[in-house]
Amino acid sequence: MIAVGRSAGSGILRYALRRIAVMLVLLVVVSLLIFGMVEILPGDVGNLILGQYATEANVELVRERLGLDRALSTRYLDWMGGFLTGDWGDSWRLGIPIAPLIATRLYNSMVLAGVAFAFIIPVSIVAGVVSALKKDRLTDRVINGVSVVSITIPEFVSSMFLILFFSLLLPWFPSSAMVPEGAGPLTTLRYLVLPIIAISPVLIGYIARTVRASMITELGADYTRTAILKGLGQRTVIRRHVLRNALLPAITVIANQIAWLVGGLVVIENVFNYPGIGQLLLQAALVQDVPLLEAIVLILAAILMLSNLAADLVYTLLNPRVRAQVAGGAT
Amino acid sequence: MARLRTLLRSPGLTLAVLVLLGWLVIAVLWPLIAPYGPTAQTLTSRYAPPSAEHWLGTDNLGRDVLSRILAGSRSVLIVGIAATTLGVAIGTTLGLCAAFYRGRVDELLMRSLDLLMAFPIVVIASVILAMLGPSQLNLIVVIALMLAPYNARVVRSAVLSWRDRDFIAAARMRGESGAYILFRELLPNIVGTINVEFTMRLALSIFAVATLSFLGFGIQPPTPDWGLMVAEGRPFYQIAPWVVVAPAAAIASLVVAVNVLAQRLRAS
Amino acid sequence: MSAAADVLRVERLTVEYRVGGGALSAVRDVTFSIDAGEAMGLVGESGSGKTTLGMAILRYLPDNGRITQGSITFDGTDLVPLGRRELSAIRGNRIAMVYQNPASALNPSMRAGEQIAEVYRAHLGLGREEARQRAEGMLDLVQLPDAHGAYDRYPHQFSGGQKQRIVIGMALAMDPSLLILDEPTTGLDVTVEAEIVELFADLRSRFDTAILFISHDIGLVATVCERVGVLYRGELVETGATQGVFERPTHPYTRGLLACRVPPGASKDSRRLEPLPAGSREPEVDACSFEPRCAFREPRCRQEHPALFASGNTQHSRCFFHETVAAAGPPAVTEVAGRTAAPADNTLLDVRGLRRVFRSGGREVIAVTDASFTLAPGRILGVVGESGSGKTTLARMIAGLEVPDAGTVRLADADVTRLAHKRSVEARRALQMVFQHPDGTLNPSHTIRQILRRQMRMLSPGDGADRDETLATLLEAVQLGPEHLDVRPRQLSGGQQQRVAIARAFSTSPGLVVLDEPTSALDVSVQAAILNLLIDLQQRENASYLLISHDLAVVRYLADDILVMHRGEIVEHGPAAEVFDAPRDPYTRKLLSAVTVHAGKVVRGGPERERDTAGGPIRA
Repeated sequence: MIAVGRSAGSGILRYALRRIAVMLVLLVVVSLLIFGMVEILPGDVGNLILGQYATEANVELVRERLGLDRALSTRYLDWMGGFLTGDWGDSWRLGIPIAPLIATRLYNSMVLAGVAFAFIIPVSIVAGVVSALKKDRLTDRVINGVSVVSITIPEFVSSMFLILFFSLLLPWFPSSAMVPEGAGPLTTLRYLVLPIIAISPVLIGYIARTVRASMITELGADYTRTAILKGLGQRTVIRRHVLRNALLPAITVIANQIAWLVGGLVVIENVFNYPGIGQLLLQAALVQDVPLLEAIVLILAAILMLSNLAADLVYTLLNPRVRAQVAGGAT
Repeated sequence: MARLRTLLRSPGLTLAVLVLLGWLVIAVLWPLIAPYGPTAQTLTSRYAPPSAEHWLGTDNLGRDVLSRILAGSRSVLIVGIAATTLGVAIGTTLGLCAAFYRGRVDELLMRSLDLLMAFPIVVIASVILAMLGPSQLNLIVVIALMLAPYNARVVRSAVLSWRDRDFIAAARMRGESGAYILFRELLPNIVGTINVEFTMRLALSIFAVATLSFLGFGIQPPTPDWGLMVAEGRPFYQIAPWVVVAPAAAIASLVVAVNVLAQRLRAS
Repeated sequence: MSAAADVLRVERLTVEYRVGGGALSAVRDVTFSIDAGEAMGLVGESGSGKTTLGMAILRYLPDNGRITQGSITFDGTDLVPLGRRELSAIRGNRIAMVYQNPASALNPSMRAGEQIAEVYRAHLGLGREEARQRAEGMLDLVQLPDAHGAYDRYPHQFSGGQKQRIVIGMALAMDPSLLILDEPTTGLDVTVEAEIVELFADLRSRFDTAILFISHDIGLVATVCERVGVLYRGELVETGATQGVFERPTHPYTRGLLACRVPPGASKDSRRLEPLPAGSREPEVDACSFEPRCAFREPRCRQEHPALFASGNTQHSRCFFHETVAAAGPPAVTEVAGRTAAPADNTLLDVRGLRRVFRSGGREVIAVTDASFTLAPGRILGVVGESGSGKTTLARMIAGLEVPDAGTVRLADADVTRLAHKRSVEARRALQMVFQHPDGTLNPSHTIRQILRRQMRMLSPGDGADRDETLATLLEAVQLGPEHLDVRPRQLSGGQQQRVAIARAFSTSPGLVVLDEPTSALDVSVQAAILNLLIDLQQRENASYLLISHDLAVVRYLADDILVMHRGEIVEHGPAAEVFDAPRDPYTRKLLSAVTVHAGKVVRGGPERERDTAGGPIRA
């Protein structure tokens, strides 16, 4: 029996809770991995903080102060405990508390990412749908050609070209994205244009291709034929039948692309001097600032897993067959 | 051979193949072609724009950009090809095992790989390389490990699509061992997929190498490396743009060529 | 049949596909017409162009297909020059279509009722409520229980038969003048099929729709249609009243097609099947396309292209010698000198208490429950059942492709209740299998020689010396030649691939061969030849067969004993004649009565005919 009855609703709820529980377990596993990876690897903290000419004794002192002489498991529990209670420790390099630092940087990155997605998602969906509808004709070939090129060019390469053309030769946009204090939304946008254009092609390329492939499959499906043979107009067929089924998989792809976006941010923020979390990660990695590094990676991991989970749940809710399966108690 | 000929009929593909072959040749023969030593400094002509003596100009230390570009092709290609080969080897094996043995093995493997794939390559690689220290070998291993999951997925689904065919059942019925079925019955049918996969991962691999070098996790100066050259040239982009544009263009050409090849292979 | 009463008049229709560099004619110069309220069948095998014809009438061809000649006059208007908008107004409204595979014909993310309602909204401009009401009325009319609840359900919540009813509901929603059906019951269980045929009869008595029924199954067409046309390679080779064509075919192809059907009620012990000889040739402009396979051919057939000649009251035939064909009557039945089956007292295969349960997502599905039976050497045991009966799982457990959850399988007194690769070499040699789909049964990247040699090497390692000779003999036994040895499977036809699979199974002279739907994926004309081959091989090798099939006629013909399975249980077990003539189990009876839809006994319905139930005398 269909109908979103109470039993169906609670089935979905139970499914969601189960997935969240799994995600939390995975997060713990990931935290162990991160901790292990970073702590076990070589790198001398003492010299990092005190400089190359520090004496042995002082280096030892520093290690003791930072509690690095304790057992691994104690350190891990300490770290996790602190993390969960909001005390994320201090950055070795900068000496300031990590939590507020990450918070600000994360916020900045999310602004950039948000604006970028606001641009990317509509463009790529439209590109995918249009190229599917005009399959193998000129529009499709052009879009395809462009996306083949844009997917593979590393972000830093395209950034360099963008800066060359639109900042150096034609002084339209600033080459550094450090938005001045108190700037209005329009000015902010002007600063963000180049970074967003630099980071978009890869994502647009992937999403557009997936949407295109999905559209082509659904356009060739039997039920599409049925709809046409029922006498429905082409627009109606696409709108009511094809799009619904074709765009559903796009949700999952978009969620996957968030991971790409984060990776791209590391490069883009570096190139454009944008004070986001990607830049912070890079700086921390280059100097082996362990607590900062661990905190950033864990936060990113949590964000990525959350977004994948959210996409999964949205997909489940929107796909009637999967929803019924889930509500009925299937895994 | 006939397939090669039909493939070459398209101008885009021919161009891509030529570019790729060109870089491969340069990577091997650059000592014979480069006009100057890549680390030879001429401090009297720093930031020199492109001219007859220096076709692509010189950088901040007076080194000939053209020679550095030619020399830098080697590291990109070595790391790229090695990482891809290693990654595809690992990924294919994992994918074959997961698809063939199903059950717990499959579940475990796929979930771990899913976890790995959820993270951006650049992030994980940066962290690992930061701790391990940058070197060519580390780069190869890290990139290979990042590529393997994608490859494993593709191989796994290819095998799964063949696994339930009746000829596999017929093989079981005559008592073939698991290894025989995997390698003599299944593998020949997915060789094409693996080839395509290799090329696609190669494009990704070069992407990763260039990016990680740019960020500072790859080869260290003064060895010429395209990504590194872009990073080094950034501070003086306004004064001497050719120092950045040349390696950037080189990366773009190589990466696009490989990708065009990969797309064409996949389409056929 | 005056032209004025025609709902559909197709004249000289030719449809071509642009393939590679050239053009392929799928439909050539086809002319026929259908009266209001009349049901006409179109019979053809694969490659006959019947589906293309159906699609062409609705002007729904793929990008590379074109109507290059002819007219399609529907209710006075020629459909060929119409544009997209005009066609949209006609489709679903005055001409509707139902085709195969109802599961994929419905949009999985749209509610069932809505898919009917949108027809009303699109063509009548009705509002939501009104459209919903009428859609529910339609669901009722196609006999779906609880029409109101059904409206809100999604397609995956219905069974195959129910889905097809919904599709039929969508098609008849606007009371179209013409309904085109393309293999509407293929793929459905036979009991469901019978219900759908009943539904047709019922609906025909309410609606005055003309019907074009396209199918490969001439028996089914005969059950449903008053008139029939036979297509061969894109051409109409015979048309006429169904009864006439059935009883007095006037074209060699029709005659051959009718003859190679497995006659209901016949068994291998009394008569042989008459296969159509193989032999295909590209249709030529100035020759008869059937000539290479024709038993009546004369030199004229290779020099001139025959037109449609009047060959009877209502019949037309595309054969110069139709009178000879008509006079020849049905092909002489080759009587088999009263063959007796092997005695049933020895036991080759002993199955006890086999049980298999599948667990998926927390639910248990019992595939096979407590199956027990024995099979004597040299006897053929047929296992029949519909989907979900468990017959395939049973076969796979016996073959060693799955492990039973309980029970034992003994072969020649040795316990083989385990996976095939864990059995002894002798056991593997003694039990082989032939599978259903010819295109998946051979490894596409191996040659035939490699496939057969490997089989022999694994199972009879000792006789390496004369292997090449054995290969030649093997191929001969399945009517293939040495030229087939070094090719890859994709270069062979479906029938040829299946022959190789049979050769592979018999290469080591097994005592028991499990056959899982060995001819279901083949054309009728190929099927007869393969069945004859299977019988001959069985006789020669004195092998036992475990024959799994949903096709009761085939099983009746081949099997000495029969098992009927329903929902995992064996509900009937006995000698073939007994089970078919005097079934004891109610499910078996239901199955047997459903099968008659393929027998060509009339269940037509329709406005001017009297309805008749299957099996009764035919009234006109």
